[in-house]
Amino acid sequence: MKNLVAVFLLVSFFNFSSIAQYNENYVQAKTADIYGDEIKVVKMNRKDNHVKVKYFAAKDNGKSVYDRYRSWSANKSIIAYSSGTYMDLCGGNPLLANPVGVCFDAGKLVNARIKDDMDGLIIVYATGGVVASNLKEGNLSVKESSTGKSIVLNLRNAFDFSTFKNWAREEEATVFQTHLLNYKGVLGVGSNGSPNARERRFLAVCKDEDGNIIHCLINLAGQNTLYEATTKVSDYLKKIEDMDNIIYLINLDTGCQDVFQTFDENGKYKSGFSGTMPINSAANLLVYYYE
Amino acid sequence: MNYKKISLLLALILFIFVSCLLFMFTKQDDNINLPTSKDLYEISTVDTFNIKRLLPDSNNVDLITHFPYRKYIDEANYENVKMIKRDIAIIESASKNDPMASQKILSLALTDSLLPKIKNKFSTYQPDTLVAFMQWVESFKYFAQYEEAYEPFYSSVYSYWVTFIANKLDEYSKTDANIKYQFKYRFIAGKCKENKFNVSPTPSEIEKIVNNVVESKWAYLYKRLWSASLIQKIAFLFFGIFTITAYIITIIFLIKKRKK
Repeated sequence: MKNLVAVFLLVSFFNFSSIAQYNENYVQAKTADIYGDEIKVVKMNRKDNHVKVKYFAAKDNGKSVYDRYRSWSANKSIIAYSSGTYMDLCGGNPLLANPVGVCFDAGKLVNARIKDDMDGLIIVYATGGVVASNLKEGNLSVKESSTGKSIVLNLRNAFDFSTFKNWAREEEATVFQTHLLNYKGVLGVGSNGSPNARERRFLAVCKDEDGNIIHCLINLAGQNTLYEATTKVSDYLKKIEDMDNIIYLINLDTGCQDVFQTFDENGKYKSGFSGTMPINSAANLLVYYYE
Repeated sequence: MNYKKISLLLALILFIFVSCLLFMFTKQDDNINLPTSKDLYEISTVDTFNIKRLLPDSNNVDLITHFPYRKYIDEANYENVKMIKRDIAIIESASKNDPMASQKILSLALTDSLLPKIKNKFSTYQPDTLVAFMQWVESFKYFAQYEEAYEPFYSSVYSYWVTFIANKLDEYSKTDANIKYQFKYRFIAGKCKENKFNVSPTPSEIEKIVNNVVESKWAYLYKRLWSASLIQKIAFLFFGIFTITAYIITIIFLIKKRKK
């Protein structure tokens, strides 16, 4: 009997320690040095569609983002999460905060107000994919699943924006707005931008030399202006990571809600890959998971 | 100076500080009477404008590109939303090739083309003008609910101008952080929020510190202290000194009490 229990415990222990959350071929978390700044990079390969994205845009019926994340993540292999776009009531209660810029959460309208000074419109699909569009270009292409028809919209045009809102509702899309710092290799921020130096976090979506789509969560702990951080990260992606091109680079909130956590392949917190605030202070959350 | 005197002095400083904050946060304008559009301008119900004059004779012209938007804005009685409905129907009959053209044309006319004409009215914070304008904008929302066929048009105009108003409210609060406590500002902001157009007035530097202290975000405050402005550093220092001194006095008081 004792032997049986010992074998059972041994098997259980072996199983627990060997079940990986994700395949390391698709996910790497590393620390690098760029121009004297230490950066933490979570590099995820979207090849074979194992790595997916989920975005919690806001609280829902009084249920906080943290509560929503907890219920949803129960049977998920989480790679990393980070606060997403900016919120209002900075420093206030996250339950009362709202996202800045136009925002839909699974088709539900959260904020109808489009912000003129933020060019990045991010659409997170229920399938786990994520795309970005430059609002300045005015050529957002969306597909109506009922008809299969694609429509091109300029969201700066009132009528097109109205059409887009109806589309987002019908397609149950998750949408948010943020600063687009690099789009198709062109910097979206100038050296004459804000002189405010602080810690920064970005989401970069790139194409590697083999044509794979690579998503990177990049955390810069040092004090950098938005321009300095953007140029450093863009250089890093091109020169060190050998990315063929940067499809887009967007800013993630590290001010009012500096929430960030990465998990290792065994599902444990990865030391050093974290923000300064606990997850329950998140007013929105960008989550990467493995399926 | 014994600890009782220090306690009294600190309590006095705290009282003055909190009173200043309360005064700043609750300062309101006395005028809480909301104007109506009629108080500000006369809406004409007599309409001599005929949109047919602005339409080309030929049906082969791309109306969306060639419609005289400026002329429409200068001549039409768009302040009366009922009149706009009639204009849509007339354009519709002239643009049978594109059933949505009439809605797209009037949407462009009453948004991007109207903006240059009226934007100067909103260069400074004039709450009565904003309230009256909001009443005009809201009529589009009601028409959108009842005129299903023209819902895209009415919604687009409504959405455009509420976004404009919300942007303006944010802009005004950057110039004067205290106006967000005024009745009319909150009234208009509430109208925007009710329809999911979030207004995000800029908090003043002191407000940011107070918010973070209330939420006990000490690690964040400590981190931000190094890049904070002078006024933020002074406010943070005050909170720090007050908290530490209060603890020290309490400990001394407890020790002395125990000794007795």
